[in-house]
Amino acid sequence: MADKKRCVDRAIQLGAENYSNYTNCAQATMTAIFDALREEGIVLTTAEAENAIFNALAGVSHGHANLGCGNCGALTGAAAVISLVSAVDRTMQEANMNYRWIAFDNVAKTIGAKFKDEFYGLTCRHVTWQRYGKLWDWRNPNANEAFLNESKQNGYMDAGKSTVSMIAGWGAGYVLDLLESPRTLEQVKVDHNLA
Amino acid sequence: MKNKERCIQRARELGAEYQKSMVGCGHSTFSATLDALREEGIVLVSPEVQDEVFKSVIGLTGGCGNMHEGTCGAVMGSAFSIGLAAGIGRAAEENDGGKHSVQTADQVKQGVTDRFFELYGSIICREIMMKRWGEAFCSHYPGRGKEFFALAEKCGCRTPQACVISNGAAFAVETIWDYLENEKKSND
Repeated sequence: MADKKRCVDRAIQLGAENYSNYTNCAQATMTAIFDALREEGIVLTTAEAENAIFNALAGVSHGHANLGCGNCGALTGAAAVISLVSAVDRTMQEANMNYRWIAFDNVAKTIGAKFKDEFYGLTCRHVTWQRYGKLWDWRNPNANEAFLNESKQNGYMDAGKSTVSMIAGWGAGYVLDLLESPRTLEQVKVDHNLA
Repeated sequence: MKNKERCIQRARELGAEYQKSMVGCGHSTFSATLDALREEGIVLVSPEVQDEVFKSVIGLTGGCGNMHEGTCGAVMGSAFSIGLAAGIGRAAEENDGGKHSVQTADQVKQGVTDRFFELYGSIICREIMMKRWGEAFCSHYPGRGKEFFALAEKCGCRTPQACVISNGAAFAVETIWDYLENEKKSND
């Protein structure tokens, strides 16, 4: 039986450590959630598939392709894990197109809603604007360095304060909730008035 | 001899086809890209692993959880495919200081997002809807999803040359094809 608080705390810690390793917020968040859950005995997929999802996230960090204007990379990393846990595979979706709403709602009603509450939007710029009161051009190496320096000075690279670590903690908590109470096809059919 | 143009066109066809059979931009774009490449003998991952990645990308459809406020699912599905093709794995990436991620992000930008900006002015789902259809819809709001699908059908945009999903899959195939060719040349 997983200890939720211990798992969330561990994801927060690993989020900060992993961002230092990868400097890719999507991958750092995803691996922090996977590893924290694994320490609680919860294995979400095969090692090969986990590595493939890690690779798939290589180009989506810092607001998608380091552009700032797309999804926050940490959001994408956490949402990818929440979506995986939703367990809607291709065969299911082809058999009944309503299955997709399980994954949609699992993402939208957990991490998506949390982002809108905390940052008033889903993009990297929403997060940095809200947390730092400033935007940087991630495609400019000097701006990146300035961001990292400011983050270090403010303690924003530390566990619990870094964006990645916060979101990894939220993500791990949501995954545990969804594993305990999975959303069902019947539920989304009612919620969205689907046939 | 593998045929790049044939593969790009096939990705377009599958993108439009999958939008009907699977419904949704992220997973349809991802599946069209990998399936078109597989038909040319280019296998990025096993079918079992592809299905696991499918599970992880479906929730990112429609601007993240179908909220329409985040990155377009077609852009996301393309980026996932390019990341898979270029991926070096977690162990190797831990040792390169993020260099590989930056290179992959550049491929995603040049191959996909720059072209989305040219075509639609944005990579955000609802902004693309505004550009493409002159209206945007929140699928979590009762009735708006059906309204959106009806408009898309009426506009005749579910074709290999017009569908946003088809564009995403075509751009991803082209980017991956060029990447693999360049890798092969540099290894020869």
